[in-house]
Amino acid sequence: MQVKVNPRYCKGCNLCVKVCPNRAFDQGNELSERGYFPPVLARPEKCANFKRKTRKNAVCELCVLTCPDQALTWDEEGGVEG
Amino acid sequence: MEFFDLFREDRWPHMFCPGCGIGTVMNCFHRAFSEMNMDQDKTVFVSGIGCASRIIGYIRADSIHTTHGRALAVATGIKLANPDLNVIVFSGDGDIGAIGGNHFINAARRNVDISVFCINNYIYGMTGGQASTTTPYKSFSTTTPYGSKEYPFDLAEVAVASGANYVARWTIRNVKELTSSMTKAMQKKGFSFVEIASPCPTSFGRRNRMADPTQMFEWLKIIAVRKEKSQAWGLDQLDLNIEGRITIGEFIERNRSPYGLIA
Repeated sequence: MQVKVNPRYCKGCNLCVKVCPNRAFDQGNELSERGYFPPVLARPEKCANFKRKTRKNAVCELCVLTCPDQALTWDEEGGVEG
Repeated sequence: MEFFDLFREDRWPHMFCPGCGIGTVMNCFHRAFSEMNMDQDKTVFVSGIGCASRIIGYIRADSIHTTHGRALAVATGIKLANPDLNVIVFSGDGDIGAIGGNHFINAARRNVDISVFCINNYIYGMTGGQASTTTPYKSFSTTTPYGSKEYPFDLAEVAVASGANYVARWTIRNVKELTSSMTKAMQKKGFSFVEIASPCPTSFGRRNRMADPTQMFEWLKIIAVRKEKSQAWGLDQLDLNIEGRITIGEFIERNRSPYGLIA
């Protein structure tokens, strides 16, 4: 699974870029419809949860817990199969 | 429990500024609350006035928004009237440290069975950035244009001295520790107090050369010193406060019997 950025809630504070220990995020440069620059998940394979399938056994989760605008959620279908 | 089972999705995105730490506190609180399987209908949320006190308006539970500084007085009343309810107070530093300081000291002294989560952003954020009781020494605000000449108030130390049962302080960088501290605070009988150092890029950061949320996030890393580390350095919290730094950690765990409950 991988992290999904919700551009409707994101306010572009870039704390997820700062907090990720594996540098999976990059600062975005595309304007969202609300007028902010949401980050992009540039390197999803570096995320510690890339090979995990369900939210229950997720580790780390620093970005999801830190995001002040609840824009980051787990996408269980994303990432690798098996 | 999903995040939007506890919070109201119809009011999202919330009103807090980009980079404000209050949203992080909401995440951690949701984790702690859902881990404990607490009943939403048996929980009352109380708050005063300020940015941090706006959290309760987003919660899908009974909540009361009281006058400035009197959140703890109202929470005491609720707990004594119906001891079956879990009472949780969300408040800011202006509410708990400044105008409601007396209520805070006395609620901790009586050891009322409530959990208090104080989100300390070191400034009066909602009214435009005036210096509060916790503004660090020599930092700038609208009312201290030459740097604050007052020494800040250490809320966690006040709670320890007043006799609270559980006191901890974390920054919003320590999300895991904050979540477990919130769980402990809600389980603990008696007055439990968790102070959360939170960035305010809009009011505090802009006047202290930290306008970007990520810069304030780095600042929190610099100022926070673990309790064990400060003891190893031989510094007490007052020395650190004068330097503009804070200690983080769990400060006390007591088992005094709470007020108004038949033990």
